[in-house]
Amino acid sequence: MLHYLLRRAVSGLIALFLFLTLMFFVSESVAPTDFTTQFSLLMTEEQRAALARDLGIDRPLWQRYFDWFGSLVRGDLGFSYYGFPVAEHLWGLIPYTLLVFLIGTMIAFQIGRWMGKVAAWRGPGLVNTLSSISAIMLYTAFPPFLAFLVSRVMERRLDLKRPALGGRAVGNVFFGELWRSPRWEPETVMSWVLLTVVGYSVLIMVLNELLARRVRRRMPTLVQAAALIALVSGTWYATGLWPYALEVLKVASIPIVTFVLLSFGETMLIMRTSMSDTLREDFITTAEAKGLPSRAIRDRHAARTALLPVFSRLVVSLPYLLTGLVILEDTLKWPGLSASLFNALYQQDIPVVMGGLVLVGVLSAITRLLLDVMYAYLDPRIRYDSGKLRRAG
Amino acid sequence: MAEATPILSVQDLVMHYTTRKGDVSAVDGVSFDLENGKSLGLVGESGCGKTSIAFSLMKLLPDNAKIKGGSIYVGGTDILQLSHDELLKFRWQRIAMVFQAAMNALNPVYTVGDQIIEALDLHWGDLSREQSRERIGQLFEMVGLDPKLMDRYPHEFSGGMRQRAVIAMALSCNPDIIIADEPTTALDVIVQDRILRELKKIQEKLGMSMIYISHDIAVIAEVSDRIGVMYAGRMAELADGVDIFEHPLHPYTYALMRAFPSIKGEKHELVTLPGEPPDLLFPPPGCRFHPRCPRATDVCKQEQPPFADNGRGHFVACWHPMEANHE
Repeated sequence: MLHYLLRRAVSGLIALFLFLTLMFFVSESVAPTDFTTQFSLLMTEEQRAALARDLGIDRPLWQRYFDWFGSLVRGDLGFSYYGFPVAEHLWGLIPYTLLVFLIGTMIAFQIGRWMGKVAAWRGPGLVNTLSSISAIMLYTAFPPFLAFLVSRVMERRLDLKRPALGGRAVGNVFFGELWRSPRWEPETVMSWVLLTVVGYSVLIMVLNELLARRVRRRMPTLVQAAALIALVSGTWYATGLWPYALEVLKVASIPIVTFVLLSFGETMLIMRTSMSDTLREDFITTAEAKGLPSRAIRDRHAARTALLPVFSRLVVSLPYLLTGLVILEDTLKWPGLSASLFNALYQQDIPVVMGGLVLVGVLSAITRLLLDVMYAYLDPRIRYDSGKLRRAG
Repeated sequence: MAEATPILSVQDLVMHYTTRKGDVSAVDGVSFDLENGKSLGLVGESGCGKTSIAFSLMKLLPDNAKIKGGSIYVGGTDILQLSHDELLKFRWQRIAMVFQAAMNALNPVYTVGDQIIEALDLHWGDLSREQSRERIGQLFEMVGLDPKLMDRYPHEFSGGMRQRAVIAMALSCNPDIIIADEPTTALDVIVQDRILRELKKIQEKLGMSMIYISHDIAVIAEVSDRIGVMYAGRMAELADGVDIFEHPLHPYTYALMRAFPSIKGEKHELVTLPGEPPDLLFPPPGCRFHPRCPRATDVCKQEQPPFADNGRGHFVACWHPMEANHE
């Protein structure tokens, strides 16, 4: 298993390297000419040359590439053409994207898994048809349109005050009394919200597995959800994070809901197909013959085994989800990574663009690796294969 | 025929599959008894209803299957009258099944031991984990597997080992009856023979009753005390193994035996039976075998022959049985 994960990590690193190299040359060559031409009307030829020299963009492309990559390896993302350090700028944006991405993916996965399971278990019928149609419609919806609909409906319901922002400008999304003199900045609150939600989820998952090993029973999903909510809100209460966390979640709910609506359909459809295939397997007949009640057959035998293809599909589609989210952020004016990517692209601020791409790449590489770990845990056949390889090699 | 009360008694079982084209009469008026500690083999071509019978015995039928009539008594209770909860307790405890293991009878994501523990937990709920593991160890030894293998996953087993594991699972709750549905079809001949013989030994040792289901009459003959030959959803002939081999009464049994090579017996030319089994959506009137039968007359086309005892518990459903020479 270790061998398998090592292999996945190395291949992930190679993919990341290729992606970044390609993106470096593409963004350098796609920019109309270079940063200095933006000011061609205001500057003389000499001034422009001086600016180019200052920014270091007068040097040949390959030299810049090696410089950039060298500092990247050292963890330095360089400076924006506007003077601020890229890493610091991005650091403030990550919580926005991660909050929506992680919580949204978790929710979408659970909804999709559950709906797919129920639809396949019920077989052809009204429930199946309705859930499939809605999943397909949402999955194939035009994201900006869906984003528009969701924000129209939810902004009024949640009584959210939004700044009238024109064009592509992205600014602050947190207003109101609470944020006048807050104990914590929104970014800090977001990080804590994420840390508690994800951390406790993992904790509950691990506990559940231990429980299954010990007494061969698992917590029902509802108990798990209740435990998660209790733990999370308890921690928020104890630390005084409560009002801030609620506000953050309220504002973030629009991008989260949109993201969930767009992404649960894929999980649902694959789960449904996989589950109906699994239900035709012989080991389901074995389980029935053993006299297992239908709940146990559905959850323990069918759904658990049907989850494998869903999981492997999720591993593949994660980068798409992440890039899709960046586009969504732009539509919803959510100041996540899209701010760095889109605005910087319009301003030809290549270092910031590259910094954003590095983050997208690293984020997908890490989540992919995490999913690989979970997948290897879920499917014993993978653990076995790696063992065979180790013996052979 | 039956001296004591049989452990299993099937009377006039009728089972239909509902399809878009109409009802398929998969099992039509089948009756047989199985005595305690004995084994019964069901043979027939594919689609003759032998597997449908097996699944009816555990009420493990797909949604479109319906038992239209008859009764299935297991140890005195009619299982067709059981409630759903009673049925769940009945399965595996009274009748267990050995599935064809090559066809993924084991769930790939759980260890073999865990899948047996699942059955033990369900039916023998008061066992501790150590007791369950001890029981599985015994079962593994009984079927010729190393007890250490119980924590392995199915894909780490070979085909033969998986078959043994499936047998161990069937034995786990000490059932009265074990149904072996094509138990060794996917295995090579040598493994097949060895496993069948061991299964037979275990059955005799534990005093269980067995039902073997196969299309291969030679396989069946080796392990069964009584043999039932099925054709197109009906029982054509039912008799003691030796009897049916030496004096087949039904023309279909006769043809079936001539279609398989015999290793021990005298040489004979293999004769194939012309024609195909009937479409059970529109079964032929009278005897269902008459379109292919060389001995068919007018009465065969019109009236269904009774399934009658022709002496010594040798049942046959035929208007013109082959010359029987008992004595």
